[in-house]
Amino acid sequence: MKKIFGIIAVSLLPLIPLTAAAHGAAALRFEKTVTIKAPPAKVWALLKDFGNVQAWHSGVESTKVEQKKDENGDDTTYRTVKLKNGGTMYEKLRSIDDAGMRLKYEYILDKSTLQLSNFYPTVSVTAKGSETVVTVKGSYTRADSSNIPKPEQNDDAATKAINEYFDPGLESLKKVAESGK
Amino acid sequence: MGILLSLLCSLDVVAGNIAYITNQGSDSVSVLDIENKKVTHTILVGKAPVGVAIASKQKRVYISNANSQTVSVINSRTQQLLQEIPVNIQAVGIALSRDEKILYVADWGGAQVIAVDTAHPEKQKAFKAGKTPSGMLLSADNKKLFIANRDSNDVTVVDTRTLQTIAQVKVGIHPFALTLSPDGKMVFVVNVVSNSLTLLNVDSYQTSSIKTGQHPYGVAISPDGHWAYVSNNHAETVSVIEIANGKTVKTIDVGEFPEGIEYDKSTQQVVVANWGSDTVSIIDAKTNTVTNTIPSPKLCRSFGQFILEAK
Repeated sequence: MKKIFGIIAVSLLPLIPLTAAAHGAAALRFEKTVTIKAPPAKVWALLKDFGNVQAWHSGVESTKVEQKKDENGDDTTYRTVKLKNGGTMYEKLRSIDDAGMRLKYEYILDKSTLQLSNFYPTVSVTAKGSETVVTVKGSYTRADSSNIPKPEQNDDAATKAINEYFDPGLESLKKVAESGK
Repeated sequence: MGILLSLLCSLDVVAGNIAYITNQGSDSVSVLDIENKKVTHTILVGKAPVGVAIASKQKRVYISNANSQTVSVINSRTQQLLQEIPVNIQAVGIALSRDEKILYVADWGGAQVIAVDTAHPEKQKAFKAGKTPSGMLLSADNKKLFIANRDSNDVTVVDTRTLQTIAQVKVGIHPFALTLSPDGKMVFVVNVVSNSLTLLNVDSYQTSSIKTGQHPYGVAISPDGHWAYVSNNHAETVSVIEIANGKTVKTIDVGEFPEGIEYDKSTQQVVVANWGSDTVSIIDAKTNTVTNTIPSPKLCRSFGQFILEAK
Protein backbone atom coordinates (compact mmCIF):
# COMPACT_ATOMS: atom_id res chain seq x y z
CA MET A 1 0.00 0.00 0.00
CA LYS A 2 2.57 2.55 1.10
CA LYS A 3 4.79 1.49 -1.76
CA ILE A 4 2.07 2.11 -4.27
CA PHE A 5 1.03 5.53 -3.14
CA GLY A 6 4.21 6.76 -1.52
CA ILE A 7 5.97 7.75 -4.71
CA ILE A 8 3.45 9.48 -6.90
CA ALA A 9 -0.13 10.21 -6.04
CA VAL A 10 -1.40 11.19 -9.45
CA SER A 11 -2.21 9.32 -12.64
CA LEU A 12 0.95 8.38 -14.47
CA LEU A 13 -0.40 7.37 -17.82
CA PRO A 14 -1.99 9.71 -20.30
CA LEU A 15 -5.48 8.78 -21.42
CA ILE A 16 -5.06 6.73 -24.55
CA PRO A 17 -7.80 7.20 -27.13
CA LEU A 18 -8.86 4.06 -28.96
CA THR A 19 -9.29 3.97 -32.67
CA ALA A 20 -11.10 0.65 -32.65
CA ALA A 21 -14.81 0.82 -32.09
CA ALA A 22 -15.43 -0.25 -28.56
CA HIS A 23 -18.72 -0.73 -26.84
CA GLY A 24 -19.48 2.59 -25.13
CA ALA A 25 -19.35 2.51 -21.41
CA ALA A 26 -23.01 3.34 -21.20
CA ALA A 27 -24.98 1.89 -24.11
CA LEU A 28 -28.14 3.61 -25.24
CA ARG A 29 -31.49 1.96 -25.80
CA PHE A 30 -33.41 2.29 -29.01
CA GLU A 31 -37.05 1.50 -29.70
CA LYS A 32 -39.40 2.55 -32.47
CA THR A 33 -42.75 1.21 -33.55
CA VAL A 34 -45.10 1.74 -36.45
CA THR A 35 -48.66 0.49 -36.84
CA ILE A 36 -49.58 -0.65 -40.33
CA LYS A 37 -52.97 -1.40 -41.85
CA ALA A 38 -51.88 -4.55 -43.64
CA PRO A 39 -51.65 -8.24 -42.74
CA PRO A 40 -48.61 -9.23 -40.64
CA ALA A 41 -47.50 -11.78 -43.25
CA LYS A 42 -47.27 -9.08 -45.90
CA VAL A 43 -45.21 -6.79 -43.67
CA TRP A 44 -42.97 -9.62 -42.53
CA ALA A 45 -42.32 -10.73 -46.10
CA LEU A 46 -40.86 -7.28 -46.80
CA LEU A 47 -38.73 -7.12 -43.66
CA LYS A 48 -37.33 -10.63 -43.69
CA ASP A 49 -35.97 -10.21 -47.22
CA PHE A 50 -32.51 -9.33 -45.92
CA GLY A 51 -31.08 -8.45 -49.34
CA ASN A 52 -33.88 -6.19 -50.48
CA VAL A 53 -34.14 -3.22 -48.12
CA GLN A 54 -34.83 -0.86 -51.02
CA ALA A 55 -38.21 -2.61 -51.46
CA TRP A 56 -39.53 -0.88 -48.36
CA HIS A 57 -37.04 1.83 -47.27
CA SER A 58 -37.34 4.98 -49.35
CA GLY A 59 -33.85 6.12 -48.42
CA VAL A 60 -32.13 2.98 -49.68
CA GLU A 61 -30.63 2.74 -53.15
CA SER A 62 -29.52 -0.90 -53.20
CA THR A 63 -28.61 -3.92 -51.07
CA LYS A 64 -25.89 -6.44 -51.81
CA VAL A 65 -25.75 -9.72 -49.92
CA GLU A 66 -22.69 -11.90 -49.37
CA GLN A 67 -21.90 -15.10 -47.49
CA LYS A 68 -18.79 -15.14 -45.31
CA LYS A 69 -17.37 -16.73 -42.22
CA ASP A 70 -17.84 -14.49 -39.20
CA GLU A 71 -15.33 -13.88 -36.38
CA ASN A 72 -16.27 -17.23 -34.84
CA GLY A 73 -15.80 -19.10 -38.13
CA ASP A 74 -19.54 -19.60 -38.67
CA ASP A 75 -21.12 -19.21 -42.12
CA THR A 76 -22.92 -15.91 -42.00
CA THR A 77 -24.91 -13.59 -44.25
CA TYR A 78 -23.79 -9.98 -44.54
CA ARG A 79 -25.33 -7.13 -46.50
CA THR A 80 -24.10 -3.80 -47.79
CA VAL A 81 -26.90 -1.26 -47.84
CA LYS A 82 -26.23 1.74 -50.09
CA LEU A 83 -28.19 4.81 -49.11
CA LYS A 84 -29.48 7.40 -51.55
CA ASN A 85 -27.65 10.10 -49.59
CA GLY A 86 -24.34 8.37 -50.30
CA GLY A 87 -24.05 6.55 -46.99
CA THR A 88 -23.32 2.87 -46.47
CA MET A 89 -24.45 0.41 -43.83
CA TYR A 90 -22.69 -2.94 -43.46
CA GLU A 91 -24.75 -5.44 -41.52
CA LYS A 92 -24.54 -9.01 -40.30
CA LEU A 93 -27.58 -11.23 -40.12
CA ARG A 94 -27.81 -12.85 -36.72
CA SER A 95 -31.09 -14.74 -36.91
CA ILE A 96 -34.41 -14.94 -38.71
CA ASP A 97 -37.28 -16.47 -36.78
CA ASP A 98 -39.90 -16.96 -39.46
CA ALA A 99 -42.60 -18.39 -37.19
CA GLY A 100 -42.09 -15.69 -34.58
CA MET A 101 -41.59 -12.99 -37.26
CA ARG A 102 -38.42 -11.74 -35.66
CA LEU A 103 -35.19 -10.64 -37.35
CA LYS A 104 -31.93 -9.86 -35.57
CA TYR A 105 -28.90 -8.26 -37.14
CA GLU A 106 -25.82 -6.24 -36.27
CA TYR A 107 -24.58 -2.97 -37.69
CA ILE A 108 -20.82 -2.95 -38.22
CA LEU A 109 -19.29 0.50 -37.95
CA ASP A 110 -15.90 -0.39 -39.45
CA LYS A 111 -17.39 -0.71 -42.95
CA SER A 112 -20.23 1.80 -42.59
CA THR A 113 -20.75 5.54 -42.55
CA LEU A 114 -23.47 6.14 -39.94
CA GLN A 115 -21.70 7.23 -36.77
CA LEU A 116 -22.94 4.76 -34.21
CA SER A 117 -21.54 1.48 -32.97
CA ASN A 118 -22.52 -1.79 -31.36
CA PHE A 119 -25.98 -1.51 -32.80
CA TYR A 120 -27.87 -4.78 -32.50
CA PRO A 121 -31.42 -4.30 -33.71
CA THR A 122 -34.27 -6.76 -33.37
CA VAL A 123 -37.12 -6.21 -35.81
CA SER A 124 -40.36 -7.86 -34.82
CA VAL A 125 -43.78 -8.04 -36.43
CA THR A 126 -46.90 -8.68 -34.37
CA ALA A 127 -50.59 -8.74 -35.15
CA LYS A 128 -52.79 -6.26 -33.34
CA GLY A 129 -56.42 -6.80 -34.26
CA SER A 130 -56.64 -6.27 -37.98
CA GLU A 131 -53.44 -4.22 -37.98
CA THR A 132 -49.76 -4.98 -37.70
CA VAL A 133 -47.22 -3.50 -35.31
CA VAL A 134 -43.58 -3.38 -36.32
CA THR A 135 -41.07 -2.80 -33.54
CA VAL A 136 -37.38 -2.12 -33.96
CA LYS A 137 -35.44 -2.22 -30.74
CA GLY A 138 -31.89 -2.66 -29.62
CA SER A 139 -28.90 -1.18 -27.94
CA TYR A 140 -26.25 1.05 -29.48
CA THR A 141 -23.32 3.20 -28.48
CA ARG A 142 -21.53 6.22 -29.79
CA ALA A 143 -18.83 5.68 -32.40
CA ASP A 144 -16.06 7.23 -30.32
CA SER A 145 -15.73 5.38 -27.04
CA SER A 146 -12.91 7.54 -25.70
CA ASN A 147 -13.37 9.53 -22.51
CA ILE A 148 -13.84 12.79 -24.41
CA PRO A 149 -15.62 11.83 -27.65
CA LYS A 150 -15.48 13.92 -30.80
CA PRO A 151 -18.76 15.87 -31.24
CA GLU A 152 -19.56 14.10 -34.52
CA GLN A 153 -19.16 10.73 -32.78
CA ASN A 154 -20.81 11.33 -29.41
CA ASP A 155 -24.05 9.95 -27.95
CA ASP A 156 -26.20 12.65 -29.57
CA ALA A 157 -24.65 12.05 -32.98
CA ALA A 158 -25.35 8.33 -32.66
CA THR A 159 -28.97 8.94 -31.70
CA LYS A 160 -29.39 11.38 -34.56
CA ALA A 161 -27.97 8.90 -37.07
CA ILE A 162 -30.24 6.11 -35.95
CA ASN A 163 -33.34 8.34 -36.00
CA GLU A 164 -32.52 9.69 -39.44
CA TYR A 165 -32.38 6.16 -40.80
CA PHE A 166 -35.38 4.60 -39.09
CA ASP A 167 -37.91 7.46 -39.00
CA PRO A 168 -38.30 7.75 -42.77
CA GLY A 169 -37.71 4.00 -43.14
CA LEU A 170 -40.64 2.94 -40.99
CA GLU A 171 -42.80 5.58 -42.62
CA SER A 172 -42.05 4.25 -46.08
CA LEU A 173 -42.51 0.66 -44.89
CA LYS A 174 -46.01 1.61 -43.82
CA LYS A 175 -46.72 3.23 -47.19
CA VAL A 176 -45.42 0.29 -49.16
CA ALA A 177 -47.21 -2.31 -47.05
CA GLU A 178 -50.50 -0.42 -47.14
CA SER A 179 -50.35 0.12 -50.89
CA GLY A 180 -52.28 -2.06 -53.40
CA LYS A 181 -50.26 -5.24 -53.80
CA MET B 1 -27.88 16.47 -0.72
CA GLY B 2 -27.42 14.24 2.29
CA ILE B 3 -30.31 15.86 4.13
CA LEU B 4 -32.52 15.59 1.09
CA LEU B 5 -31.70 11.92 0.71
CA SER B 6 -32.39 11.13 4.33
CA LEU B 7 -35.79 12.76 3.98
CA LEU B 8 -36.56 10.81 0.85
CA CYS B 9 -35.40 7.47 2.13
CA SER B 10 -36.94 5.56 4.94
CA LEU B 11 -34.55 4.54 7.66
CA ASP B 12 -35.50 0.90 7.93
CA VAL B 13 -32.55 -1.43 8.11
CA VAL B 14 -32.43 -4.50 5.92
CA ALA B 15 -31.59 -7.59 7.94
CA GLY B 16 -30.73 -9.98 5.12
CA ASN B 17 -28.55 -9.80 2.04
CA ILE B 18 -28.81 -6.78 -0.16
CA ALA B 19 -28.39 -6.43 -3.92
CA TYR B 20 -27.23 -3.04 -5.15
CA ILE B 21 -28.77 -2.42 -8.56
CA THR B 22 -27.22 0.35 -10.67
CA ASN B 23 -29.72 2.17 -12.87
CA GLN B 24 -27.68 3.62 -15.71
CA GLY B 25 -30.60 5.54 -17.20
CA SER B 26 -31.78 7.23 -14.02
CA ASP B 27 -28.49 7.91 -12.24
CA SER B 28 -29.53 5.92 -9.20
CA VAL B 29 -28.95 2.74 -7.25
CA SER B 30 -31.81 0.55 -6.04
CA VAL B 31 -31.28 -1.20 -2.73
CA LEU B 32 -32.95 -4.59 -3.10
CA ASP B 33 -33.78 -6.63 -0.01
CA ILE B 34 -33.30 -10.06 -1.58
CA GLU B 35 -35.18 -12.09 1.01
CA ASN B 36 -38.25 -9.88 0.95
CA LYS B 37 -37.86 -9.14 -2.75
CA LYS B 38 -38.44 -5.48 -2.18
CA VAL B 39 -36.59 -2.30 -3.09
CA THR B 40 -36.15 -0.44 0.19
CA HIS B 41 -34.19 2.60 -0.97
CA THR B 42 -33.29 4.42 -4.15
CA ILE B 43 -30.08 6.40 -3.92
CA LEU B 44 -29.09 9.14 -6.34
CA VAL B 45 -25.48 8.71 -7.47
CA GLY B 46 -23.32 10.01 -10.36
CA LYS B 47 -24.21 9.94 -14.04
CA ALA B 48 -24.71 6.54 -15.69
CA PRO B 49 -23.83 4.23 -12.80
CA VAL B 50 -22.62 0.82 -13.93
CA GLY B 51 -20.36 -1.16 -11.61
CA VAL B 52 -20.58 -2.17 -7.98
CA ALA B 53 -17.89 -3.08 -5.43
CA ILE B 54 -18.89 -4.10 -1.92
CA ALA B 55 -16.75 -3.20 1.09
CA SER B 56 -18.45 -5.18 3.83
CA LYS B 57 -15.88 -4.37 6.55
CA GLN B 58 -16.06 -0.65 5.82
CA LYS B 59 -19.84 -0.79 5.43
CA ARG B 60 -19.42 0.96 2.13
CA VAL B 61 -20.52 0.31 -1.41
CA TYR B 62 -18.59 1.80 -4.31
CA ILE B 63 -20.42 2.59 -7.54
CA SER B 64 -18.66 3.41 -10.82
CA ASN B 65 -20.32 6.17 -12.84
CA ALA B 66 -19.39 6.03 -16.54
CA ASN B 67 -20.64 9.44 -17.64
CA SER B 68 -19.75 11.61 -14.66
CA GLN B 69 -16.40 9.76 -14.54
CA THR B 70 -16.67 9.38 -10.80
CA VAL B 71 -17.12 6.77 -8.08
CA SER B 72 -20.01 7.20 -5.64
CA VAL B 73 -19.57 5.95 -2.09
CA ILE B 74 -22.66 4.69 -0.27
CA ASN B 75 -22.97 3.95 3.42
CA SER B 76 -24.48 0.46 3.46
CA ARG B 77 -26.00 0.87 6.93
CA THR B 78 -27.93 4.06 6.25
CA GLN B 79 -28.08 3.66 2.43
CA GLN B 80 -27.01 7.24 2.01
CA LEU B 81 -24.59 8.75 -0.42
CA LEU B 82 -21.42 9.78 1.38
CA GLN B 83 -19.13 11.04 -1.30
CA GLU B 84 -18.39 11.21 -5.01
CA ILE B 85 -14.78 10.61 -6.00
CA PRO B 86 -13.60 12.07 -9.32
CA VAL B 87 -11.53 9.57 -11.32
CA ASN B 88 -11.70 11.30 -14.72
CA ILE B 89 -12.20 8.12 -16.70
CA GLN B 90 -15.29 6.31 -17.99
CA ALA B 91 -15.55 4.18 -14.91
CA VAL B 92 -17.12 0.78 -15.59
CA GLY B 93 -15.25 -2.12 -14.00
CA ILE B 94 -14.59 -1.69 -10.30
CA ALA B 95 -13.07 -4.02 -7.68
CA LEU B 96 -11.72 -3.83 -4.14
CA SER B 97 -8.63 -5.31 -2.60
CA ARG B 98 -9.45 -7.97 0.00
CA ASP B 99 -8.46 -5.60 2.82
CA GLU B 100 -10.64 -2.91 1.20
CA LYS B 101 -7.78 -0.43 1.25
CA ILE B 102 -7.47 -0.11 -2.52
CA LEU B 103 -10.21 0.39 -5.03
CA TYR B 104 -9.40 -0.48 -8.65
CA VAL B 105 -11.32 1.39 -11.33
CA ALA B 106 -10.96 0.41 -15.00
CA ASP B 107 -10.77 3.06 -17.71
CA TRP B 108 -13.20 2.00 -20.42
CA GLY B 109 -12.01 4.81 -22.68
CA GLY B 110 -8.36 3.84 -22.45
CA ALA B 111 -5.95 1.10 -21.51
CA GLN B 112 -5.35 1.69 -17.86
CA VAL B 113 -6.70 1.02 -14.39
CA ILE B 114 -6.67 3.53 -11.55
CA ALA B 115 -5.80 2.40 -8.04
CA VAL B 116 -7.58 4.57 -5.48
CA ASP B 117 -6.56 4.67 -1.81
CA THR B 118 -9.95 4.29 -0.12
CA ALA B 119 -8.77 6.12 3.02
CA HIS B 120 -7.50 9.04 0.93
CA PRO B 121 -9.43 8.91 -2.36
CA GLU B 122 -7.49 11.82 -3.83
CA LYS B 123 -4.48 9.52 -3.86
CA GLN B 124 -4.73 7.73 -7.16
CA LYS B 125 -2.29 5.90 -9.32
CA ALA B 126 -2.75 4.67 -12.88
CA PHE B 127 -1.24 1.50 -14.23
CA LYS B 128 -1.32 -0.34 -17.53
CA ALA B 129 -4.06 -2.71 -18.67
CA GLY B 130 -5.10 -4.02 -22.11
CA LYS B 131 -7.52 -2.19 -24.39
CA THR B 132 -10.90 -1.26 -22.92
CA PRO B 133 -10.43 -2.85 -19.51
CA SER B 134 -13.77 -4.04 -18.17
CA GLY B 135 -14.43 -6.53 -15.37
CA MET B 136 -11.83 -7.01 -12.65
CA LEU B 137 -11.31 -9.22 -9.62
CA LEU B 138 -8.72 -9.96 -6.95
CA SER B 139 -7.33 -13.42 -6.29
CA ALA B 140 -8.33 -14.89 -2.93
CA ASP B 141 -4.84 -14.16 -1.54
CA ASN B 142 -5.05 -10.60 -2.89
CA LYS B 143 -1.74 -11.00 -4.73
CA LYS B 144 -3.16 -10.76 -8.24
CA LEU B 145 -5.59 -8.49 -10.00
CA PHE B 146 -7.30 -10.01 -13.05
CA ILE B 147 -8.50 -7.54 -15.69
CA ALA B 148 -10.71 -8.53 -18.64
CA ASN B 149 -9.70 -6.38 -21.62
CA ARG B 150 -12.64 -6.21 -23.95
CA ASP B 151 -10.84 -4.94 -27.03
CA SER B 152 -7.56 -6.79 -26.76
CA ASN B 153 -9.28 -10.13 -26.18
CA ASP B 154 -7.16 -11.03 -23.19
CA VAL B 155 -6.90 -10.94 -19.43
CA THR B 156 -4.13 -8.94 -17.79
CA VAL B 157 -2.79 -10.32 -14.53
CA VAL B 158 -1.29 -7.59 -12.35
CA ASP B 159 0.95 -7.97 -9.29
CA THR B 160 -0.96 -5.96 -6.69
CA ARG B 161 2.26 -5.10 -4.84
CA THR B 162 4.08 -3.54 -7.79
CA LEU B 163 1.15 -2.84 -10.14
CA GLN B 164 3.20 -4.43 -12.91
CA THR B 165 1.74 -6.84 -15.47
CA ILE B 166 2.85 -10.38 -14.71
CA ALA B 167 0.85 -12.19 -17.38
CA GLN B 168 -1.31 -11.47 -20.40
CA VAL B 169 -3.60 -14.39 -21.18
CA LYS B 170 -5.51 -14.75 -24.48
CA VAL B 171 -9.17 -15.58 -24.00
CA GLY B 172 -12.16 -15.38 -26.38
CA ILE B 173 -13.38 -12.37 -28.37
CA HIS B 174 -14.43 -9.41 -26.22
CA PRO B 175 -14.04 -10.64 -22.64
CA PHE B 176 -16.21 -8.50 -20.38
CA ALA B 177 -17.29 -9.72 -16.94
CA LEU B 178 -15.51 -12.19 -14.72
CA THR B 179 -15.96 -13.96 -11.43
CA LEU B 180 -13.92 -16.22 -9.16
CA SER B 181 -14.76 -19.82 -8.31
CA PRO B 182 -15.73 -20.33 -4.63
CA ASP B 183 -12.48 -22.25 -4.01
CA GLY B 184 -10.51 -19.35 -5.48
CA LYS B 185 -8.73 -21.53 -8.06
CA MET B 186 -10.45 -20.48 -11.27
CA VAL B 187 -11.44 -17.24 -12.93
CA PHE B 188 -14.51 -17.41 -15.16
CA VAL B 189 -14.60 -14.87 -17.99
CA VAL B 190 -17.49 -14.29 -20.40
CA ASN B 191 -16.50 -13.66 -24.01
CA VAL B 192 -19.23 -11.52 -25.53
CA VAL B 193 -18.61 -12.16 -29.22
CA SER B 194 -17.35 -15.75 -28.96
CA ASN B 195 -20.47 -16.77 -27.01
CA SER B 196 -18.28 -18.60 -24.55
CA LEU B 197 -16.98 -18.77 -21.03
CA THR B 198 -13.23 -19.07 -20.43
CA LEU B 199 -12.06 -20.97 -17.37
CA LEU B 200 -8.70 -19.49 -16.41
CA ASN B 201 -6.55 -21.15 -13.77
CA VAL B 202 -5.43 -18.57 -11.20
CA ASP B 203 -1.96 -20.11 -10.78
CA SER B 204 -1.03 -21.77 -14.09
CA TYR B 205 -3.03 -19.43 -16.38
CA GLN B 206 -4.14 -22.47 -18.38
CA THR B 207 -7.47 -21.99 -20.05
CA SER B 208 -10.40 -23.99 -21.35
CA SER B 209 -13.73 -22.84 -22.65
CA ILE B 210 -17.44 -23.61 -22.49
CA LYS B 211 -20.23 -22.56 -24.85
CA THR B 212 -22.85 -20.11 -23.60
CA GLY B 213 -25.91 -18.46 -25.12
CA GLN B 214 -25.80 -15.39 -27.34
CA HIS B 215 -23.67 -12.44 -26.18
CA PRO B 216 -22.86 -13.44 -22.58
CA TYR B 217 -22.52 -10.40 -20.30
CA GLY B 218 -22.27 -11.82 -16.81
CA VAL B 219 -21.51 -14.99 -14.89
CA ALA B 220 -22.19 -16.26 -11.36
CA ILE B 221 -21.05 -19.51 -9.81
CA SER B 222 -23.02 -21.58 -7.29
CA PRO B 223 -21.34 -21.88 -3.84
CA ASP B 224 -20.64 -25.59 -4.41
CA GLY B 225 -18.75 -24.68 -7.59
CA HIS B 226 -20.89 -26.97 -9.76
CA TRP B 227 -23.03 -24.53 -11.71
CA ALA B 228 -22.39 -21.46 -13.79
CA TYR B 229 -25.23 -19.03 -14.39
CA VAL B 230 -24.58 -16.92 -17.48
CA SER B 231 -26.68 -13.93 -18.54
CA ASN B 232 -27.07 -13.98 -22.33
CA ASN B 233 -27.46 -10.33 -23.21
CA HIS B 234 -28.90 -10.90 -26.69
CA ALA B 235 -31.01 -13.93 -25.94
CA GLU B 236 -33.11 -12.68 -23.00
CA THR B 237 -32.01 -15.77 -21.12
CA VAL B 238 -29.79 -17.16 -18.40
CA SER B 239 -27.91 -20.39 -19.17
CA VAL B 240 -27.46 -22.86 -16.34
CA ILE B 241 -24.24 -24.72 -17.14
CA GLU B 242 -22.78 -27.77 -15.43
CA ILE B 243 -19.16 -26.72 -15.16
CA ALA B 244 -17.70 -30.25 -15.01
CA ASN B 245 -18.91 -31.18 -18.48
CA GLY B 246 -19.76 -27.79 -20.01
CA LYS B 247 -23.35 -28.81 -20.71
CA THR B 248 -26.18 -26.30 -20.54
CA VAL B 249 -28.82 -28.02 -18.47
CA LYS B 250 -31.39 -25.28 -18.62
CA THR B 251 -32.03 -22.01 -20.42
CA ILE B 252 -34.19 -19.69 -18.35
CA ASP B 253 -36.16 -16.83 -19.89
CA VAL B 254 -35.52 -13.53 -18.12
CA GLY B 255 -35.92 -9.89 -19.23
CA GLU B 256 -34.31 -8.15 -22.18
CA PHE B 257 -30.57 -7.49 -22.27
CA PRO B 258 -29.75 -9.25 -18.98
CA GLU B 259 -26.39 -8.14 -17.61
CA GLY B 260 -25.35 -8.19 -13.94
CA ILE B 261 -25.85 -11.59 -12.33
CA GLU B 262 -24.95 -12.93 -8.92
CA TYR B 263 -25.73 -15.92 -6.73
CA ASP B 264 -27.17 -15.11 -3.32
CA LYS B 265 -25.96 -17.75 -0.88
CA SER B 266 -28.41 -17.00 1.92
CA THR B 267 -31.56 -17.53 -0.12
CA GLN B 268 -30.13 -19.74 -2.89
CA GLN B 269 -31.38 -17.40 -5.53
CA VAL B 270 -29.78 -15.85 -8.58
CA VAL B 271 -30.32 -12.13 -9.08
CA VAL B 272 -30.21 -10.77 -12.65
CA ALA B 273 -30.50 -7.14 -13.78
CA ASN B 274 -32.31 -6.75 -17.12
CA TRP B 275 -31.02 -3.58 -18.81
CA GLY B 276 -33.59 -3.73 -21.59
CA SER B 277 -36.71 -4.27 -19.50
CA ASP B 278 -35.91 -2.19 -16.41
CA THR B 279 -36.47 -5.20 -14.19
CA VAL B 280 -34.58 -7.55 -11.91
CA SER B 281 -35.28 -11.27 -12.24
CA ILE B 282 -35.01 -13.51 -9.21
CA ILE B 283 -34.26 -17.14 -10.05
CA ASP B 284 -34.77 -19.90 -7.51
CA ALA B 285 -31.55 -21.91 -7.88
CA LYS B 286 -33.18 -25.04 -6.49
CA THR B 287 -35.69 -25.21 -9.33
CA ASN B 288 -33.98 -22.91 -11.85
CA THR B 289 -37.16 -20.95 -12.43
CA VAL B 290 -37.89 -17.24 -12.20
CA THR B 291 -39.96 -16.62 -9.09
CA ASN B 292 -40.09 -12.82 -9.12
CA THR B 293 -39.60 -9.94 -11.50
CA ILE B 294 -39.01 -6.66 -9.73
CA PRO B 295 -39.19 -3.28 -11.47
CA SER B 296 -36.09 -1.10 -11.20
CA PRO B 297 -35.60 2.35 -12.71
CA LYS B 298 -34.18 2.78 -16.18
CA LEU B 299 -31.38 0.65 -17.69
CA CYS B 300 -30.37 -1.42 -14.68
CA ARG B 301 -26.99 -3.15 -14.94
CA SER B 302 -25.18 -4.08 -11.70
CA PHE B 303 -21.84 -4.92 -13.28
CA GLY B 304 -19.55 -6.81 -10.93
CA GLN B 305 -20.17 -8.39 -7.53
CA PHE B 306 -23.15 -6.51 -6.19
CA ILE B 307 -24.53 -8.49 -3.25
CA LEU B 308 -23.75 -7.40 0.30
CA GLU B 309 -23.93 -10.32 2.70
CA ALA B 310 -25.55 -9.61 6.04
CA LYS B 311 -23.06 -11.61 8.04
